[in-house]
Amino acid sequence: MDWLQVLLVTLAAFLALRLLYRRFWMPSKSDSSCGKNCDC
Amino acid sequence: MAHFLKVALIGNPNTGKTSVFNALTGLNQKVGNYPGITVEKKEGSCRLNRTTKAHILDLPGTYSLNASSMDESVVIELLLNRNNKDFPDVAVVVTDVENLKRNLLLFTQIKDLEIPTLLVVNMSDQMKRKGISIEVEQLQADLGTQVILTSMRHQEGVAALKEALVNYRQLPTTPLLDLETIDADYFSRLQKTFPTESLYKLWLVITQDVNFSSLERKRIQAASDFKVQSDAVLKRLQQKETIKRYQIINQTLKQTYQVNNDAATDLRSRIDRILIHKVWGYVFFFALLFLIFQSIFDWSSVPMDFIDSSFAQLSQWVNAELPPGLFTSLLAEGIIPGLGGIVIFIPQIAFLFLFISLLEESGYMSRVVFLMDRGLRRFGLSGKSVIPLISGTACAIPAVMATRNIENWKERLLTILVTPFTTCSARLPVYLILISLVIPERSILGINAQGLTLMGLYILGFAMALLSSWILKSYFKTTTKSYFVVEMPNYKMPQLKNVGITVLEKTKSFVTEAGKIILAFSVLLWLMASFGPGEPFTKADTIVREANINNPLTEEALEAEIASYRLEHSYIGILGKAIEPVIRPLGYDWKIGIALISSFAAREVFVGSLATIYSVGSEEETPIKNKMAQEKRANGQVVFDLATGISLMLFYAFSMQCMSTLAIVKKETNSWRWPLLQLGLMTVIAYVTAFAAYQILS
Repeated sequence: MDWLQVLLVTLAAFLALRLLYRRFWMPSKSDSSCGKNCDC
Repeated sequence: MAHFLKVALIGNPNTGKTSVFNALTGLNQKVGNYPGITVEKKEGSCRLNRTTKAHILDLPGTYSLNASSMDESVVIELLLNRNNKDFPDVAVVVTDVENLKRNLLLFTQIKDLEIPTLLVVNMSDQMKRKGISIEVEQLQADLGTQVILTSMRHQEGVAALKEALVNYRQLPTTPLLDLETIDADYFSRLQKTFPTESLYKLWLVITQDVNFSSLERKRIQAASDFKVQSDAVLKRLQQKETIKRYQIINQTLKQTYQVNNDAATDLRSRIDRILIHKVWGYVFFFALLFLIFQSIFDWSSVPMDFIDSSFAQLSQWVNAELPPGLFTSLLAEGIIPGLGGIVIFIPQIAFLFLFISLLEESGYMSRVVFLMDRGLRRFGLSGKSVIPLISGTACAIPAVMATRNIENWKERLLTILVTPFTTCSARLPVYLILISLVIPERSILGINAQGLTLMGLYILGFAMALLSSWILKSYFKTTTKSYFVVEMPNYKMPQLKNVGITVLEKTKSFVTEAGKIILAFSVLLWLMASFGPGEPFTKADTIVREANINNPLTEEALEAEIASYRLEHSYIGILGKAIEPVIRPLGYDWKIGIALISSFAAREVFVGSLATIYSVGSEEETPIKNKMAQEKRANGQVVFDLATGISLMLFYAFSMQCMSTLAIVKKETNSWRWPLLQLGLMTVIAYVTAFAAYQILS
């Protein structure tokens, strides 16, 4: 089952990096950094 | 046979226009729709005297002749088209005595269409109670019209209005605003191209999406000797027009319209007299703030303790029940503590926004804006800077965007530069955990010391914003004066539904927006703390056991020693160690250094980072607060003592740890110069104050 654990960790790391990349390096393509109610 | 006069009733919404219409027409009215659209058309008739009857059209409420809704378009289309069967012989602009300034904008626009226009100042029965006095004769002379004071509640002024309608031909039709003062070149060319047309009508046809029968927009564009301007230029000219109109209105009202708050007798005025008083207003405001921060700490301690211990138990359960391995460790030591670092702050954030929305809903927030305006001017800020500074307590990003309504560029820039000092909700988790660690949970004369510290930090944020603005203002000398207009709404009972929605939205936005970043950082930090280069990391077990071979340690103490050694030689440990010389004078060790680095992206990551770092390799699952309290330096002293705690709070109060704010400042100022200056200045201030605090307190 070790391979499954490694796979899941790799997936989590990928998702985390993807989220941060989209948030800080491509802010225009991700959801805005503030609340839903502002029009940024 | 009776002469028939066509009258149009025009006015802002809620000015009592319909009451005037009802008073004039009685039961002689009918309601239909304007052709092709669903805007309601109300018309009626009345007898003005023995020989004159009037056909009265109650036009939809509109704030100005710059159409933004279908209702407003109806008004403009009618007033621009002389061939329309309803085109009025006389326009009656109905205004509300309390909001005369705002209402007069529409009056000046209608007057400039060269239609005979009467001004009705309605709700005049409120004048005495509100302490308002009007110099009617002077107002008539300044506005070039006849002014009629009416009170529909007491049926006063109706006869005078009817008489004025009969004599409408005596009303002057000269425009109030000379458009050439806005842009002499543009408007003189426009007039030369169409010498027979009214200049203001031409201008409205160009800027609004409407036509009138004798002149179409296309014809203006087709005129070869008239250059069509871009939309941006037209927008700028429109803004200039509104500013010029308000200058005329301000000048007129300064001479003719007085409000004596001391003479007002209504309940609202009596409450206002205290709440916006130059001494009692501030006393009340700060007492209220004090109560709010006390309650935030008192009420949320129970749910917070519950959440904290629940997450610790969840980690324990995951470790015990799931098969051991890499992902189980990530869950128990990275993801669950990271999630705990988000959820634990929900009670306090919900309480804070509950209070803020109660203040907004009750109408008190506008009084705070008004109250603060007096003081702010001394610091080089505009009265309108209050809104960004107050909304900065939620998030600096919408606050920086809210500076857009400050016309003066230098005042706006100054506001943008200092707004990130106000305590945003992302700082709240950092403050809360540090306060609970270093400030004793005791009451002095019934005052909760922790609540007092939190309030102090909010005040410190505002104070630093004002101080830096005061220093910077000499570099940004302003030459133009700006006006500050705030409409004070009536006091009302907050609607529970609205308050509930605000609290839910804000809390949800914290959990989903900030939460995602915190969680992502937790995963990456766990990875960087769980792997390391070379032998010191991989063979930590052997190295530590060999080093302690002559040192009788219990197995438990030895395990802790190994975990600590391994963390120190992991990737994150190496990074933290690299910056340790820079942060050591502030009282921080390399573990706090790691949290500092990760929170340069977003400050709310701080607690989650520490939770992850302290959890890696640790067997016991205790709440994050306990872990932080147990953390010791090499010499055996606790890490989070008063000196380090205060130093960290000051660092977070003043430093610019928010990449999103930097990005929005770049966007709003259209240059990297200002965000970089902001980042540099704020980091220096944060470092120096944190350094001073630590050195003095330790």
